[in-house]
Amino acid sequence: MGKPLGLLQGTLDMLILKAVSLGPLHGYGILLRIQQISKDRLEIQQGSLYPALYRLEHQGWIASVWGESENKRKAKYYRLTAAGRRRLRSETENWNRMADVIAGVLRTNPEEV
Amino acid sequence: MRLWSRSRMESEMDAELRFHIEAYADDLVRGGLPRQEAIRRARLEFGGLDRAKEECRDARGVSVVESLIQDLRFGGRMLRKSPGFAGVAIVSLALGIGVNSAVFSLVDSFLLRPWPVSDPGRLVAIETSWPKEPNPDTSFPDYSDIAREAGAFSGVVAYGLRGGFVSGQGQGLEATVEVVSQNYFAALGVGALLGRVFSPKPEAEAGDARSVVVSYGLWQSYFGGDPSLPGKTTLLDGKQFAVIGIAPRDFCGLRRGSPPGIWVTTGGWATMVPGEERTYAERDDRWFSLAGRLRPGARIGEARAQLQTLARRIEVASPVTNRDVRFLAHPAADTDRGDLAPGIFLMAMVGLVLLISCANVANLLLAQTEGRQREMAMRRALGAAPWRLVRQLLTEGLILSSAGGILGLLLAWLLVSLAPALIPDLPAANLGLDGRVLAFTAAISLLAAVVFGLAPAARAARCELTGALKGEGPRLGGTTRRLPLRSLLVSGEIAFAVVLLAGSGLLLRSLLYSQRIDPGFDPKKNLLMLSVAPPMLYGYSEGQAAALYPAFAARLESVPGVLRASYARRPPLTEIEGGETKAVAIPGVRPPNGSDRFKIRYNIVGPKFFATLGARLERGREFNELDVPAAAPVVIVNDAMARKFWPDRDPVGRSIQIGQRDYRIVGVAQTGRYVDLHEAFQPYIFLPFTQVFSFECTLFVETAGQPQALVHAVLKETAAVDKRLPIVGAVTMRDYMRGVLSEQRTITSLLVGLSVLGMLLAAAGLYAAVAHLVIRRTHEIGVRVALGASRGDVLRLVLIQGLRLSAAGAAAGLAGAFAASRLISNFIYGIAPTDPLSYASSAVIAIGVALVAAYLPARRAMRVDPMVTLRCE
Repeated sequence: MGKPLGLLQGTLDMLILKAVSLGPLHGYGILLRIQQISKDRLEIQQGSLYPALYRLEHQGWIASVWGESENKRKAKYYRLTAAGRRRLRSETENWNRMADVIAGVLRTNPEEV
Repeated sequence: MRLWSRSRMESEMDAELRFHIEAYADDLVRGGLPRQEAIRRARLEFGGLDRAKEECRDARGVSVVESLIQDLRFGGRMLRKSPGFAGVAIVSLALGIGVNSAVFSLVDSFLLRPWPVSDPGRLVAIETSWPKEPNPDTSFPDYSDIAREAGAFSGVVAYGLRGGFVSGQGQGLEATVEVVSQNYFAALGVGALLGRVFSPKPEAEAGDARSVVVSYGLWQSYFGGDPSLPGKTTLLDGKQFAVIGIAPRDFCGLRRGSPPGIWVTTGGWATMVPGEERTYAERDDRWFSLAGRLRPGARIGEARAQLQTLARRIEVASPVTNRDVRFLAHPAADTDRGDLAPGIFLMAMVGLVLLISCANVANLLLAQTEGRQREMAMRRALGAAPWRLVRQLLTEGLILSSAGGILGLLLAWLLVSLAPALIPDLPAANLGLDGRVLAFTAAISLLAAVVFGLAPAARAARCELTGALKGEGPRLGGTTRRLPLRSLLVSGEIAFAVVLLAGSGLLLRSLLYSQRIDPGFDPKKNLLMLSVAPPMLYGYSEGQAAALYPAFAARLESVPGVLRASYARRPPLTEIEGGETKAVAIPGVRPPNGSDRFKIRYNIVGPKFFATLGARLERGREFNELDVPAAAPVVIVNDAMARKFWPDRDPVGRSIQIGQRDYRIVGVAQTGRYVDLHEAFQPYIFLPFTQVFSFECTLFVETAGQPQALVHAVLKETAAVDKRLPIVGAVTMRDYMRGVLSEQRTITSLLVGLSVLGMLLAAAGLYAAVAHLVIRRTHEIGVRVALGASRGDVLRLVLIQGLRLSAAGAAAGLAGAFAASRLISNFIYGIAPTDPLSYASSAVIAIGVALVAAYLPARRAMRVDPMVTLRCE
């Protein structure tokens, strides 16, 4: 396992949506969940997480509610909205198409041109 | 939404971030770090907390409400920074909005408020249309046919206005009596406040004919609000009636502006005035107004068709009375359009005042935004979208108009509470600022904000960045490009003021005309009129009553200072039963309608009546004590009648037949006005009281000096004749005549007040515009003076600006007044609605006032010191 990768521009939103699509989480939980499912291969600036959450909430893709954390403290939980679910689906499709195209481009040999 | 709570948002954000750091630190502690170190690491790895928060705030976005609050705060600050501007604008708006709200509450309470009947939308007014007479009333037989046969209605009611004398409760009083069909209240869906109303059941008719329903107003004023009144009895024209109920407070009948005091059924009216039931049988005695309630599912077209068929059928059956008679139906809500006209007229006029104040404020705002060009340009340069600036300005406008609206409401409240004092003839009504007036005020305030805020806002959106930022103020040349809109506004104000002034001029001239109308007697005489309660209500027999009035007259003439005394059944110019007629046969002349009688209006008068009132006799003599019942019956006709029936011949000595008796004409009186001051000349007859008894009379006392001075002595003398018989009113002829013209005077004084206000507002607007112009052109004026222009030249320069603006406005105003002249034609008498004198004087006044307004800043311009202005370069 090498050095964790920095995030590509615009991918944090997608990761957050994916993380909360598995169940409501507080901000710290989202961070842990992304690290867990990426097997610590992605590095996320903790400070940049919250502006992203606020932006997604403002856009209506996630919603928040105050609840109690595992260790009995008040924490703000985020969950995916219906609009967020649609958004995640279309983002995922876009990403997969884009990844195929880019990968294809990068695989190209000189004689294929 | 938590958008409005900024502090709560902040504290939640703090809590969330703190939770994150603490949770991370907990994990680190679990990994083996000491607590202190764990917290330090957690903070460090999180990164800049403040920057994160700032980014969060931005990410959350700015809400509509928040930016509105921002706009409001900023707008308020801007207005506080120029309190003079804000003050003038708010006062100008408050005046405009205040008079509008006051006039609206007036118009609304009399004309607009929907009738307090159930489902007023399904009420239809039914009118008789008859080419011969512009009288929409219907006869009782026609009514009965309509009620029975027009199936589109579930009920048709009839109501007619009459007068009566209520007593039995100390001193009596004259009351308006509405004679209604038995089903009136039931079909309208109006219940009683206390007791009950007339029952629609046929078996109740006999009982209800001895009963009355009392209006809320009369219940309060005459019966002292006695809650046990229903069940008691009262005297109506001396006959005993049971009061069965009190009508609801807001129910004033279907006739706007003339609330009845008491309701009786048609049966009750016949009991009250014996002989009246005969009018119920005559198809050409038309004195009932009709309203029908449409059956569920029926349309007004259906009703019209049925009425049309019915009218044809009646016409065939009774060709003499009903030739060409048709019945019209229209939604009751817009029947009294004639009565609505003054309201519409007043609202239109007062609307002009509001337009003037809006133009004023728009102009002030334009001047203000010009001064704020740098600010606007700066905000644009810093990234504000144009619509954001527009919204900012509209918000400021809203602040102004809200403040103006609130202040205006205060003004309206003041005006409405003063209204009864300012307009003494105002009928008592539920005047006041209710929810409808509040809604109206809010609506016009909002509308005003849009009207005056739009132009400056549109301009701000178009502002050019570079020039404004560089501080290029308007100087020589290049400045007039902005002027057209502002000139247009000022000229528009003058134009509206001219429309108002022209209207006032017309009304004033019409009032003067009406005051000069010869009513057929001398209205300037020192005359006292005394209304006497009908003596037969106080136990007099007819014979005693007949002797009473001559006794009064003789007694009064003995009072020192009294020149003459007489009496008559009706005072002149009274609408109460002023239209009573006698059927008169004139030998040798046949009426055109096929019957053998003319219906001619009449009065019954005592000896010396004409001399006392100062009415001229063209020929013959007036009645005297010798015209006793035993002598041959005599009559006096008026000049109009003489000319109509005996052209070129002397009617004196001829006979006419009234009822079954022959009356010899002994005199011809000058033609007067008998019911309405503006009525056309019509035939009229006078009968002698000494031969024809009248149930009631008014006394006329001519005095040598001021009649008021003798009121006391006169009342003492009448009391000496009979203590029990009350004099219900003593009024001088001058006051009486003032009352005759009160409606005209009211509308005239209202409009004159409005036009003075409008003119002052317009003058203020012109003053501000010219003053602003002078300030902007100070530099130019300085240059001109430096180049040798004299003070006179400068004065002329500025005055010509004012003259141009006001002359353009006056021209537009005259055109507008001309176009709107039809609106006023209903309220003016004796002059054309395009009267040149009124028009010309309004233009002259407007331009004169405008020049005065322009002169003040012009004086300042004359004092411009070229050295000072040029040094500013």
